[in-house]
Amino acid sequence: MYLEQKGCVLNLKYENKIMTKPVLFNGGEVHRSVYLDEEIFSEEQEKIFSKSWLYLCHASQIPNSGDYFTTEIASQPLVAIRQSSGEVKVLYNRCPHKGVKVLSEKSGNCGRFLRCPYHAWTFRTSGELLSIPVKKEYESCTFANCEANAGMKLVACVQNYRDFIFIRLSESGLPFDIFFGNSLSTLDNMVERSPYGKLRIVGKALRHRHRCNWKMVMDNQTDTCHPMVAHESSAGEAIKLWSETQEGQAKPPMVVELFSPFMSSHAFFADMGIRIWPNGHGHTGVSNSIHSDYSEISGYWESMIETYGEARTKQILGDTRHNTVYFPNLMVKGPIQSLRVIRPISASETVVESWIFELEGAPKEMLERTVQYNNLINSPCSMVAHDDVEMYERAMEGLKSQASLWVNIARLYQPGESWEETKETVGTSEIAMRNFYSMWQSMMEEENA
Amino acid sequence: MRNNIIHHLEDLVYLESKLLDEQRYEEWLGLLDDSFTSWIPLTHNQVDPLYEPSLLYEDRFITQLRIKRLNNSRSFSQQPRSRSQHLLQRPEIIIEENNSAANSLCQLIYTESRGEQEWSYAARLEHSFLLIGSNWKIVSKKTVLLSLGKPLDSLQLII
Ligand SMILES: [Fe+2]
Repeated sequence: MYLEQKGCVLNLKYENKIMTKPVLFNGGEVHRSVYLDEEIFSEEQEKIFSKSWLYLCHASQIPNSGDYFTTEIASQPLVAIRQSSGEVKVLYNRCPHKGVKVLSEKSGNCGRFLRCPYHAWTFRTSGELLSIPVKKEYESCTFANCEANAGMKLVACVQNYRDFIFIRLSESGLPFDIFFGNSLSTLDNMVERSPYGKLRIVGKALRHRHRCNWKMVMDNQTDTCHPMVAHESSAGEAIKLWSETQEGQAKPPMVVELFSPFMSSHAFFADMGIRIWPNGHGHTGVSNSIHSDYSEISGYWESMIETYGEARTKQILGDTRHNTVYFPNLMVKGPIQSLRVIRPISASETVVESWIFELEGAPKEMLERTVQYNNLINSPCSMVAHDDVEMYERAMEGLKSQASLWVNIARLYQPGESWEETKETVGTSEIAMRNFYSMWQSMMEEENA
Repeated sequence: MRNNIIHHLEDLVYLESKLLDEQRYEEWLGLLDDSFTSWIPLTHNQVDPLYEPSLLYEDRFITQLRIKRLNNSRSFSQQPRSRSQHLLQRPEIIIEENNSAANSLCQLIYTESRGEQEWSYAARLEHSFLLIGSNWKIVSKKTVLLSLGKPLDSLQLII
């Protein structure tokens, strides 16, 4: 909007100065403080992370009654627990008595109730206070008015979408279906890639610490103009090494198949297309993607046809979306069966957590490829990730410069861009980043009630 | 005979670390068998590298690629370059009956530095060796890091 009026991004800075609250995203540029400022970071935690739907875990991690999974979201220690009814509830992992974290393992089974290790207060798996040793020593009227009487607090909103458990900490905010809208089609596609329509999380998450702002990592997920540049040393060398050593082998090693598409041209990435959805979500790879040309794994197609029939199978496997970003901090790769949770630690520190899934009913080789992709791309030892991280960390350094206050995300900007509808455009556009920051800005501008 | 083998393999483990720290990767590749694999598990008791995530699981081809990449002029995360230092305890060598295969277990403190930063990792290093012709070759290497509970920074060189 501003861009249109001025016809030029650069003029905006002057306009910003006369506004009472500085504009941090002006339509084509993001103010550097969005990445650097600790105050903005705390404000994000409160206004964005408490009011958005956030991915917590996958139901396959807690299959049985009493199974739990602990995590920390927006600095809140939480625990997801499978109830005897089969439902998943999410509690704040804090004893109402002295504040002790009740469960300290990453995951496990708590049996029929939770017991605080400090004074043996016990709670139902739904958080309700069950017993206190020598409870008569609490004056019952007084205690009834104490917050502790309510037991372990439940997280306000929990949604189990096809086994993906999402939470919203705040009681107010957009309903789940509205918040995500059609973007859920990426999760649908990943689930449907299983002949049984079921996914299972495999192993633990790879966790890679970056010394940068979390939004730089989010931006990078739909940045289709960087792979052939930043990853030339790994992907380019993979192609070269294979051509030097193939010795008549018909099929390249998996690493070559996985790395070489990173060297695809701008034109290829442009043709892939990009789609955005309302509320900051979007994905690269609409008609095609760097995940489209993986070699066939024998038996998989047949097992899919058995469940879905040929036409539907073609549809499911033909949808090879590249990266789907879910506002604010989740990225899903359907054709690879992986997801990344981008965990903000501070304005200048982020942990990227990568999880993988097995497609139930699919040949084991599918999982082998997923494992290898995850190791090669998402590990702290990944020769691909090293260069991404280098770029984020250099940006953290470079942004200290007084040369400019702005980060540019104006590639293929179109006058009058709006964010209320689903839209598709050229794959090299930075429209998904702009869509993200438009949502970011509108949430940040909301005054707290 | 067996004592000679033990000494030889101890020296081989020390030599490997020295070549890695001096980034003499071509010479290091010479110590590896064609079937070489390297594994850094993600959990302490992990048994399966193929169907579960690992920090690293690679064959000789990927290892070669890693070396090519480190030496590529557009390896941006190596500008400036990293350095490493292996501090090894004396390896414990176990030779199989037929004297043509062996394993080694060794405690390690590995330190990597780059620019103004330094990272240290305590680890258990396991090697397996095969006698190929008259040469002992490294067929596999498994490095189990002590701290697997925390998120790791980029680990760039070969541990
Ligand atoms: Fe990248």
